[in-house]
Amino acid sequence: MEAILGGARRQAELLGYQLEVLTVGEDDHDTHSLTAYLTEHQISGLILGSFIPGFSEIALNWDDYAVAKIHSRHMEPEATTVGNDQLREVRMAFRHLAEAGYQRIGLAVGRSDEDASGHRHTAGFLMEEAPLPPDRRVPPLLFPYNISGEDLSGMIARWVRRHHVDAVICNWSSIQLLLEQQGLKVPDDVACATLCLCDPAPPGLAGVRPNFDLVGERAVSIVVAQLKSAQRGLPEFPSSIYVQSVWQDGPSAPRRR
Amino acid sequence: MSKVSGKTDQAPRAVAERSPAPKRYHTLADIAAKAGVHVTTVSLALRDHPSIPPSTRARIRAVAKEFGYQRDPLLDALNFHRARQTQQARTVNSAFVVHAGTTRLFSGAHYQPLVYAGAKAAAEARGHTLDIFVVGQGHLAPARLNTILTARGITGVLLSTFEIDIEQLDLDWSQFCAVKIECLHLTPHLDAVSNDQLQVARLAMRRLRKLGYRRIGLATAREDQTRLAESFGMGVLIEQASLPEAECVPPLIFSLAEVPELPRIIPEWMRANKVDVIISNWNELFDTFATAGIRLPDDVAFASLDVPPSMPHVAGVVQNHRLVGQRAMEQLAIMTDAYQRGVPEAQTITYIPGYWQDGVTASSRPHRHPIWV
Repeated sequence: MEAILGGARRQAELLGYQLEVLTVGEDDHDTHSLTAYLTEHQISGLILGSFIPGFSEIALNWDDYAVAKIHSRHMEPEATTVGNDQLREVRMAFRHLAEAGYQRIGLAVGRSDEDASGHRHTAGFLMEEAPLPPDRRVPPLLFPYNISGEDLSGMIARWVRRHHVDAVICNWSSIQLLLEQQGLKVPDDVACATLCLCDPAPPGLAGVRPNFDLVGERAVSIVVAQLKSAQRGLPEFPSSIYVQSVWQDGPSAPRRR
Repeated sequence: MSKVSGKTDQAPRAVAERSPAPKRYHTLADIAAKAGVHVTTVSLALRDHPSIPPSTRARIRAVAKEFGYQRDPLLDALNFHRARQTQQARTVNSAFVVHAGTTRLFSGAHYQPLVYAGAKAAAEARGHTLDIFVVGQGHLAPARLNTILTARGITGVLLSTFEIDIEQLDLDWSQFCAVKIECLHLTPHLDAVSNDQLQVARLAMRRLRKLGYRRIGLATAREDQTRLAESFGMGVLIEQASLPEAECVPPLIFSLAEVPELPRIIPEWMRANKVDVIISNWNELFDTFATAGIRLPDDVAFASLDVPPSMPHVAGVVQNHRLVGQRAMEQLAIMTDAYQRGVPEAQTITYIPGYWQDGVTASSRPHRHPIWV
């Protein structure tokens, strides 16, 4: 989130706009107070940043604003949406691991992340698995909303053992820790890679490094372009914009043999 | 909402005259008075115009911040309009580059002309020109194209839908702002705009299930899958992931070389998998059905994943080709204004969704015995 905000702030400043962060939630703004605030401060450009499924949502009169969303696909409004490209990231991670010699690659991702991304993690994974013989396909682990670290650790370990997973792709960067907590040695028992290498990153973790600052930048550019051309409200066919990421090797997933 | 324009000079009012409204809007004139400069200077400074010394700009911005001055969106819109008109004085030329080999996507097809129409309309709205250039066998070689573009002062390039046998286009990209349309396989990895084939496939499957179909089969070319990064296939896979196995039909992926055999291949696959509706971006399948003696929709229903404008009776998803062209051009124009040349460090891909259209080729299917016994 910090990186997204950083990129957004820089771009806003560059374009001559002020960026203010407002929070929505039980102890913060709701739809009513937010509308009042925005009206009072004459704010007409909005970026909805990474709302998490299962938490508060807002229902503003979208026609009054220039809007862009970051991820948050599970909720209204259907606005132009920016994000990193989870689908291609999963495919990239899978291919790197396959090339490194791993035979039973598994995907572990939270249901809430799946819902927020429009199921793009599993889409990429299923496509990479499809050409494999059925006995080499590992069913994805979709872990529940609001699961504790301890429960998650146990769940992942059971899944790894049950399906003889030799490399785990997980969107949490604590994956190595979660595995080791259950007595699974990385990379000797199972290798792992994350889909979210953000600084500060756990040392030695292989995975995908998303360009979150560019996501923030792009969201601001979209809103500013609309503000400048006096466009308000939602487009009939909102675009989905994905910023590509890069792979980073690491000792948590070394070449086999 | 009514706004006080920065241009209107407001005489200070007596307190009693003020209506009990929200706080008074501060104007450029207020800032100018406080900063001891002319209103025009304030306006230029807030827009970061290079004619105003940086220290003056900073000082004025500080005063503006003190006043809590908000940029007026209406003013911005006015300036945008004005900027557009000045740009017309210096015409920006952009190029729409196509490959001669993409005849498959040209011949009788609606695709390229619509993309071009959308791009051209967006260019003209900004006072730009958009000329077509053809590369490939018997046409321009990349080096020659490069020379021509440079000579003509063209700095914006749209690359439209190259087939997979073209893997690379060698222009001196550092000279140009460029956006690709659809050809995600093509290097270099420039920013790209594409139809959202994954969304298209998912939408088709969901609508058809609502209509009562239970054995939906995707038929498409391997070359299309490669060119579109398997988007149709992935869309089907995601939907199938939540369906019982009995309702999942393995896709028919054929090669271009097998096309003459389709009148045999399609019915074989249909029968083997008890398909009740075929989804495909290949509208040529209508000919295949006719040749093979397959009756639509009695033997099998059909929903296109790329309904052409000339076929309002066909059920399926209409892709927004014109909008793809338009948004690609809009993105190119923004990049040109911002002087963003060369291959980006991190590519962005923009997907444009399609929409469902009902049609007689796949109408509502009442719950009855399956077609295939």
